Amino acid sequence: MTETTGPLLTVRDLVVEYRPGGGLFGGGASFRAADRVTFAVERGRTLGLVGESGSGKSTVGRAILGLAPVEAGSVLFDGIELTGLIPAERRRLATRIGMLFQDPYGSLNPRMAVGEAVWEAPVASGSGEWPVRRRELAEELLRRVGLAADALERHPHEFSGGQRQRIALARALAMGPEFLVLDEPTSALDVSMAAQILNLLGDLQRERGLAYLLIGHDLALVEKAADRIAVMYAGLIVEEGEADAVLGRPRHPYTRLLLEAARGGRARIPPAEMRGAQALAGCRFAPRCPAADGGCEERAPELIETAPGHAVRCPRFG
Amino acid sequence: MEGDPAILEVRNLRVEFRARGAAPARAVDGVSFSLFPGEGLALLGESGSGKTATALAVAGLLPPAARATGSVRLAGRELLGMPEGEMRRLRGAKIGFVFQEPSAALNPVLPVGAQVAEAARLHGRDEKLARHNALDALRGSGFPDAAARFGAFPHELSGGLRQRACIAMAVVNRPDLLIADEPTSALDVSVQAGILELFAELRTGFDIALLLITHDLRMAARTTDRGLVIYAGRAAESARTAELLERPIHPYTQALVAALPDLGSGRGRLGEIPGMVPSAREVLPGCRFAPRCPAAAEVCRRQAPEMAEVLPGHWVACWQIGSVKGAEALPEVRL
Repeated sequence: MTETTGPLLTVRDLVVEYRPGGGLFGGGASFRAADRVTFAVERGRTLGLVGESGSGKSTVGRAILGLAPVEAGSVLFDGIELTGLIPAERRRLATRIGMLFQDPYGSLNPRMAVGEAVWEAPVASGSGEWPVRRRELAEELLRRVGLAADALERHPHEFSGGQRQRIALARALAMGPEFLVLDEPTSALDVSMAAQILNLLGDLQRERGLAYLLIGHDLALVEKAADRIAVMYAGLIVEEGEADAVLGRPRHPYTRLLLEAARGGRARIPPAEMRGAQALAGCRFAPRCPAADGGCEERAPELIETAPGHAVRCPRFG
Repeated sequence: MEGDPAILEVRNLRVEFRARGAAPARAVDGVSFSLFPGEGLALLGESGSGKTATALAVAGLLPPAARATGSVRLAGRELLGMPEGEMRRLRGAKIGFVFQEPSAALNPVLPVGAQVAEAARLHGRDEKLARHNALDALRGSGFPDAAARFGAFPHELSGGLRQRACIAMAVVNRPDLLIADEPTSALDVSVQAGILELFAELRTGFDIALLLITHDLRMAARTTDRGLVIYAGRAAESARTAELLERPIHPYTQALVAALPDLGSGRGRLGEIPGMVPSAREVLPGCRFAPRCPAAAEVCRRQAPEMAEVLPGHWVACWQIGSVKGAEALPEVRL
């Protein structure tokens, strides 16, 4: 079934839990890396998911890709429920959902020539004309991401970090996806290379109508690409809305602190204790919050819409 | 050297890497700068610019396949060609080094306190004094509950705290010079501010000179006084870092500034430098930035420009600065 209206991806009340395994070190408490996470990504648009290390932002991306243990909730992609899919069904969807991670080296086989890395998946799955025209199609795609035609025969180690990220992007695009999970795609790159990759992602989005979930910790970079922004803290979305509203009129004290840090302000955010925060009865950010009062530690706040399309999870807005 | 106030003086530094069956790669090609006690200097550039090779040459940490020539003087003593044993004693005592990835610099199976103390012990402190100095260094590096966490293992700490432990290790012997190579790139933006502030405290509190290696001009402007922009092994521009950010003159520095995302400017494209840094094996007779430069002319491809002082304390190596945006009002540099 294919829907043509409504968001391309709808994540609703998603819960991801990691349980310490059995064996010698097993038996500890489980850890909820994502807690009742809800958002939607529209076709051809970008949602920026931001937060510090340990906030759960990468976990959400991995859950969408079927790489994290979903405990509850729903991930609806174009009307198809992704949670609980058997591997064969998941593979069929791999043509429509792609990914790009921070370290392209980790996702590229060092022994495989770049051309083969690009055509491997679409040829194996018999996608489009790939089985009969793989060289031309791979060359075309590599050129589109800014690499010379001779890249086809070369190996990943012959390329710089920025070029490897282009190869990984060509590989992700080969299946003709509609949606990409981009997890810190420029964090390992210099400013100038980061700018090239981010601009390229923007061009490809316009050309191909791609939708992105852009996961990042650098608000200034995410702002360049995102239509909407969701801010995560200790597994929860604490603020979500149109990018200009969240960055221009932030409501949550945590968003404000992140913004100040990104502007180079001297504000010190007390060290994160993401795991400990999970056990708190009240607001998880209260121990670090400059605006917290006694009430914040008593009642866990819900995500409340404070303006149309702009939601905040803070006890002071409830 | 008598009467020389600079703590570090680098003159005409060249670093070459030799590989069997390939032309030698000149990663650093005639870089000069000096650094005074308590001062902060940023070496700026992209991957492949030679900034890290410069830092490693200063610290005597280049791999065996590399050869450094020119001069590197620390408090008047020549470091290039110094025997390894002597260099090792100097490093750690007089030069501290902080790397990008704190997890790689720490031993995972030793408590952090013991690792900091070991750095002090290696340089002549007895067991008790080493421990005492280590605790001091951890406290001075903003390590909260240093006494209680002295026995903590690296994996029990956040990335920010691990980096503070590495900084404590680098400064436990009160060095004259601290070299930090992209020290906050692996950290969250929210943690970076605290680390940068720590560098400022170490400089003013202990008169430690800071050599910061980074590709982020904005971070450099927050942390250091002066900056030297390096491109493909050669100096391109040198000025106060605030001035480099606000009034870059070299087309390369201008492009680096344009590539920085500016928070609050909304959705849109970032400034882009087409292409990439040439390989250190490539021989280019002229300006090494010319193939990527929007202002390049014939002379640029033929002959390498020298650094010239175009404003007080502001040096640029560019043939075209009369025609580069932002430099119109500057005096013409003689070709």
